[in-house]
Amino acid sequence: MRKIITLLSLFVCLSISLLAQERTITGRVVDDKGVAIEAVSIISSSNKNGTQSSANGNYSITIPAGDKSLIFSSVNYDTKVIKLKAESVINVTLVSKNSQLEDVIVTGYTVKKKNEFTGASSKVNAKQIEQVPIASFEQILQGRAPGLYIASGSGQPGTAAGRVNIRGVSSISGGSGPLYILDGIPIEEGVFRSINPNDFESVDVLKDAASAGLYGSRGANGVIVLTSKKGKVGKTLLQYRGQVGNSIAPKPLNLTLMNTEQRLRYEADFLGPAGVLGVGTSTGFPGWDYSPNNPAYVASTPAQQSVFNAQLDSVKQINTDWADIFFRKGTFRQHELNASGGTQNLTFFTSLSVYQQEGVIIRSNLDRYTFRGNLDFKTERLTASIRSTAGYSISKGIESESAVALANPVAAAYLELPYRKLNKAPNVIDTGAGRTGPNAFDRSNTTTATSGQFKGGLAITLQYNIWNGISFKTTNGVDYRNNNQSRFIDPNQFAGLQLVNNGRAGLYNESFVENVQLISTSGLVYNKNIKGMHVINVLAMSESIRNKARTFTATGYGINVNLPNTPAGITPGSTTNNFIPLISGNKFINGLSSLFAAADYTYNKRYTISASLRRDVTSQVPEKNKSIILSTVGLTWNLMAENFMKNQNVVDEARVRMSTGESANLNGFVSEFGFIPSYGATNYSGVSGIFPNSPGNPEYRIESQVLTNIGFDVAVWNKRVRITADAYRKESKNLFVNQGLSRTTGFNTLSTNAGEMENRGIDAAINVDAVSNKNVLLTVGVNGGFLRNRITSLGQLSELPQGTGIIRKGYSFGSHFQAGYLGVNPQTGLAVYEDINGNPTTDYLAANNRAEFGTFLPKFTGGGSVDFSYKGFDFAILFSTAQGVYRFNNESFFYESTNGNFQFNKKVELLNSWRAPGDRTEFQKINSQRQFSSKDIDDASFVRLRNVQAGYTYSFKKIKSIRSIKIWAQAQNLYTWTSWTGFDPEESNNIANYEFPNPKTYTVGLDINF
Amino acid sequence: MKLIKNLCWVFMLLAFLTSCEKELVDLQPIDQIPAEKAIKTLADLTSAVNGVYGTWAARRSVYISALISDEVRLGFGGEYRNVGNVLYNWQFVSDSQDWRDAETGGVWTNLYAVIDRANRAIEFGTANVPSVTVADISLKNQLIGELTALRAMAHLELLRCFSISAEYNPTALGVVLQNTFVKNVSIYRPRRNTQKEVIDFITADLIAAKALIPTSFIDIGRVTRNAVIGAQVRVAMHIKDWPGVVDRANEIIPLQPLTPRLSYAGLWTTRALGANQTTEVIWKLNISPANSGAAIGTLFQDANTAQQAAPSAKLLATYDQLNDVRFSTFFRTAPRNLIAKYGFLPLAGETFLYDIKMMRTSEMVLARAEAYAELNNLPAANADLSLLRTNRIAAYVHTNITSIAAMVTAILQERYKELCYEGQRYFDLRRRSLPIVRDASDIGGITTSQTLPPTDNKYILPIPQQEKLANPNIEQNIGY
Repeated sequence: MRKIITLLSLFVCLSISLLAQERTITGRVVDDKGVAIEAVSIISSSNKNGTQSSANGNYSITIPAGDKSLIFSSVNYDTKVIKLKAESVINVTLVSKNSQLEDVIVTGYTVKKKNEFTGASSKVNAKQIEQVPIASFEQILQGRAPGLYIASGSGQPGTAAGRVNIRGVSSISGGSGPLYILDGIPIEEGVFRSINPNDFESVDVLKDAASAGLYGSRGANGVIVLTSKKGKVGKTLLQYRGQVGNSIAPKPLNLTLMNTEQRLRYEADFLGPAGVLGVGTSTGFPGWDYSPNNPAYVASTPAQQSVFNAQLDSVKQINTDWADIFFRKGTFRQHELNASGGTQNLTFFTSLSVYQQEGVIIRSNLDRYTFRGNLDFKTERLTASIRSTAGYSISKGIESESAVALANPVAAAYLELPYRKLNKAPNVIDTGAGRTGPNAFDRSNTTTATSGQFKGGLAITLQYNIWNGISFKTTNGVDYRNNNQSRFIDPNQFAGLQLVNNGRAGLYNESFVENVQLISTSGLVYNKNIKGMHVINVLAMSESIRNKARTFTATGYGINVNLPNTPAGITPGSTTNNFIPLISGNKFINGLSSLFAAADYTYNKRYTISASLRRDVTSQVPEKNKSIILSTVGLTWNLMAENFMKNQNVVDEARVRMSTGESANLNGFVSEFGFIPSYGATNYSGVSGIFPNSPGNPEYRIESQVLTNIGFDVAVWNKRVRITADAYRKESKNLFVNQGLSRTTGFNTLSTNAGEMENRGIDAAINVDAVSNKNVLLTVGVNGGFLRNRITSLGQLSELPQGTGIIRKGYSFGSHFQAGYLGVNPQTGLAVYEDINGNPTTDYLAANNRAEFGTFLPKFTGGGSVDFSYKGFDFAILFSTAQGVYRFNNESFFYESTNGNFQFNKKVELLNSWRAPGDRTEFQKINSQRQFSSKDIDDASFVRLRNVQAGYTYSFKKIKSIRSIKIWAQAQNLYTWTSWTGFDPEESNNIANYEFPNPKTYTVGLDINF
Repeated sequence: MKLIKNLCWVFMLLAFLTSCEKELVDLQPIDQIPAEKAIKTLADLTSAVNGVYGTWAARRSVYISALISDEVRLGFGGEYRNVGNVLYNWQFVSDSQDWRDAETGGVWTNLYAVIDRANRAIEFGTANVPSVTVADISLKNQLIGELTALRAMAHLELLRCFSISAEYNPTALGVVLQNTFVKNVSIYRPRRNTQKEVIDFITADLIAAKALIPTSFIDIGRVTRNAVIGAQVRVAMHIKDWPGVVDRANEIIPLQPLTPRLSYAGLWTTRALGANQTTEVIWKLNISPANSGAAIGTLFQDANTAQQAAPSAKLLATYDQLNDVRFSTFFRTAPRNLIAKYGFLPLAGETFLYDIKMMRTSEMVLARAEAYAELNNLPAANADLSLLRTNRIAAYVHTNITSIAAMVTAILQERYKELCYEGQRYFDLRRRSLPIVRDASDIGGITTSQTLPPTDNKYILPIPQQEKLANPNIEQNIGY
């Protein structure tokens, strides 16, 4: 605003001068690193249309001789006014606002200067987000912000990250995901595949009470504030960006499964003699059937034996690479066209994009089409911004993703035997009972799982300056999502014939999910700057949020073979044909009503104090607990404004920040009306009935926490070394725990607010411009967060077991809970476990389970980056890491099992299984019970070379229609260092269940700036 | 004046905000029925009774009894999915997840849910549901009677599974007696009652139910008066009240006589028997595509024909394979040995959706025979055994058994053959403290899985770990 006033006054001054002769001034506009700046608007008092600098920064302007100054302005740079003297060549250096952009924190409700900000936050810029070949933007943030832990849950294109935690987990049963705010409007967590990340200008990660606390009962898990791009004043810029590439599946890490020769040997020497394959020569296991170790073989006639030998020889010729059958090279392409520009009062940004990515497993893909239109309008008193986006994506998924199911291609690729063949005759897949690989392959081709998604968003913010720094501000918007899924199982094929309960004739399913979130935030804003001594910002607002969702799914059976993959093929159901359709769905609604006020005051650029107060009323708790009052307070001391810092020139920036406050977790509720004791609908063999489905809890309340933060920002060496560090303590209480109930109550669990948890940690980031001169910029950055999570109370309970894990007081969330494993007794070949005291025992008892085997929450997460540019070349590397992570490897249980699952392939080390007393081995006797134990808990720490990019930008001097082009290439997920066994250590939960691995993607791209 | 005007504005603003707030946050649930409104009419009560029937997952008892005993052997080779091996090989611990249906608490959790739902319906129904007309009063009595009987039968099943002793011991630990629904679930941590306390409660409930359910109610898909009498026979058998067995069996057998040999196969090939008392099926749980998750046949063979459990060689060898209708009805021997009692693949159109037979007259006849034997009335015992066999085996000629011990052995063997895969075998062995003994050919080379004596801790099922964790007061069975 101030700039505009300055400009306006300049116009007034300059317009007095007389028009007479003209003169031409030429020159070049560069930034502080000497790089040419294009599209800088250059005007004088008389020549208000002015001109613009070209792509190489050159300009030429003709003005009346009487004009006394030139004004150079560009949205990304500070405006510069040059007093004119006699010279006709004026080269200008503009100071980038980018360094200032870095200094601005967008909190969603406000925009703060770093010197006046009391909170802890991290910023990720457009450059770091753009063009990464991942459809769901939050996964792109991995390794970019300290204290932000992102774990991919799946390599299926478009899947949201399985876990996004800012400063740890702060809910036991409910959500620990942050709040996402896009241009002031909350958007649904985990539904990002229909949004184009290239549209984002910046991402602010708000981590403490002073920054996220203003969001009250939505702020407990931190906030990710997304700001979409807006147009810049000046010439309209048109840009095309495209990239094409391929994704390939990673190879299993630290894991080798048996090949045909090894498998046959395993059958002949281990499984068969142990008696687990049965007797005779037709057990279906050729390694045993045709082995001299098999008494039935020995008893056969020489003629029979020679037939057997020939059969074994033919089996030996088969060596099927099942992974090769299920995995593939996926193609990737993305095209985008965007345009932006505007005048002083009106700017626009619009983009269109197409994104097409094939997954690395057959059938999987994502196609996405997005649109964005952003408009900003300004008058003397009113500013208006309109943000609109619409995206549609359609995705094909794999069968039984992340399930321990033979239909899951990842499981089938691991488990099928190498001597089995896919086809029994050319183009005839060898399906049938026990044929894991062919069945899963056939299923992939004779079923569909398609999911279409429309996502639309609209945000309108109006601010009207009423009087003397007081303005009325209102933000209104909607976040809308509609998923439409369809599923078809071919009635003629193996999968369709499996549906024994539904008539064995395929199915067709359609389901839809609609999610609507409406928000209205209105109130008064007061901003006052009194002579630079006192800066006051106040806001007081009322906010209403309504969230509604519904789902509906219908499945029909008995598909007419001539009408595949359409509901028209469904046969009406009867009790004789068993084609009874299945229909279900649900609806939910909740609401949040809030009043809040926030104020901050800065004295003489030195001290800033901020405070907020918020009253939230939610529909999700009983009347007596409906409203909650939350407050925060923060303090910043800018040391640079102190006199004692004036005489030094080592430190360029120094700030100390402190904040504390309470926020609550609306995400913690697992149901909308969980406090009400209730009945739900059921049936007895199709006759409708009711049953008590919730015990209810009159004491139900919202989860809340107190978060205290202390941190500092320091910059030295002409700001070439920038350090930010924060220490925090987050004490969460009233956490929902599913208290186990005596089953005699008729219920298994009761949701009670009994949990308390503490997260303590340190986040830090260091960025160093190691080389910074006219031609070369080399920046090295490291960031990371240490986290210690502890359950501090579970009310009357001391622990809550959860499958293979446990929630236990004094331990970290996500701790594994298993019997310890010590090895194999060389004399008996049986597994030796640890008892509750850690002493050896052969008894496997639940009572011996201990929680000493780590947690799946990483102790440290972080990233490292190197950015290098030399003239037109640029090069960037990103590493990400998670350390101190332990996950339960359910997959290893399968390929090490000794008491069953013999029809599945095993890891090659099982050829060292125990056979006779004295054998020293890690693999117990065949046919002894393989139990879950600490043996199955693996270190899933990793360091990943996540992204490498290299590009070259060429600016055209002669061609008018094209300013510049950039050609570039990148590799995503290039290499992983880990001791994990399996395809991919990175996953969001405690247990590995044949997840879709994250692919490696290589692309080449072309950007053209018109 | 100005002050008043300003105050007016403030009040209007507050009123506006408050009304907005009310509209936003005072919401009624959409997909749930608040408990206090759930059971207000006879229709509601009927619905709640359906909910209790729908809750009873009877196939879990069938599964446990079959897998833990000598009724099956595990599947072999490539078609076997490793299901049930923990149970079959007696390797279970208190939190083993092999009790079926992705349910860690298994039978325990399910039957206490049955009991709780029945208790709620009894209390809400008695207190809140008006009945004025004669028909309404009769219906309400019937519904309350059904609920009372269901509650009693669920307790009996729990007692058979989880009692600390193999056979009935009045003073030893039984299970928790739950005769009312729990009002404050979070602090409820009951101890186990003695077996006699539970039996006394069951006995009283069954007497009450018998008086409430009219004889005109003949839907065998629910608990009829006949089923209550059958339950009384079971209770008497469990506590070895032999005269009681004879009395109640004498009452029930004429009401629903044995189904003759020539009609017998139809009991098993008909997926849903009619809702009447024309066969020997006294009580069954209905299964249809609507509750397909309860498909009982899939316990042994799954949808893609993978075979989890096959009939044990030991059981197959007990039949007169040529003449015994049970052999041809319960099994298939080609292309391999299959359990066919609840359907089998590859049978065209097989759905595995068969009624779960909860109680049949065969059991009553054999119970009476056993009681007669124990009461030293061998002629009557021989007559009952002969009666059953004549109705099962073509051209059967009975040879009298002349000692009590031989008679009891013969009757138990006959129960093994008649009631296999109906959730009885394990409990028959238990109530007689007999070891579980399998044939060497059934154990797949695992010699430790051949014999389980009643003195072994694994002979008694553990109280689920989930109960133990939530309720420290519960006494665990020995060795878990």
